[in-house]
Amino acid sequence: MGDFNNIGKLYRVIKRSKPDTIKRRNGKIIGVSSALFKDEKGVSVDQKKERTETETIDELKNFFDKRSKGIVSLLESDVTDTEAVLIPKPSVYSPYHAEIHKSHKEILLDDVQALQLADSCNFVFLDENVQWTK
Amino acid sequence: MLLLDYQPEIYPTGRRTIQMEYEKADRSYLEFEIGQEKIKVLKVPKRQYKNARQHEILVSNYKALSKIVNEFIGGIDEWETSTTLASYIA
Repeated sequence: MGDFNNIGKLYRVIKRSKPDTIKRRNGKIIGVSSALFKDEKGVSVDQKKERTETETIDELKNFFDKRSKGIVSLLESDVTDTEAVLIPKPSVYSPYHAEIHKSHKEILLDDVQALQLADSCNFVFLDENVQWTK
Repeated sequence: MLLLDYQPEIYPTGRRTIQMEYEKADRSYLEFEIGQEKIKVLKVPKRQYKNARQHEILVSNYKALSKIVNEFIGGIDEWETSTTLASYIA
């Protein structure tokens, strides 16, 4: 039996914006828009790897500080299910940083990939009190 | 927006476009991604991703959006036989 805690998990930050990419219905949060996965520079995520989920979330919250409104998680298998690719891109800020690309040759996800990934997300952190600023 | 009989959910993207979304109780999904020159249209019946249909229309043909939305809300699911989109395809 494998270690389910180490199943490849990814985290995507929802930055404060007005409007944001959080879907709400009748005052209840129901998910995220596929717009969260449409980024011309590549969709940035953090890989959990050997960290606990709490450590991963805390490190992201510390890095993004007031710019972060929420964090969603999804699995690496969710990425491969859409035929997208996960490109590890460690940076000076995070050795766990990676990007989701459409393929090894193209960065921009197609619209169906973005929707599937959004549908796969689960909220792991949300602060509705984070203020949007110019 | 004022031309639409049904108001969408609106979200910003990270590629300088605005996205308008509609979703029905059966999870069928309609999306318009509006750029400077083109509007990308995505329709996913009952969240069946393999049956997704995508087209583009010119921003100048924005009036087509209202008919597409009304057809979606009204349950016309035969995307291929819809004359509305064909007449506005770029």
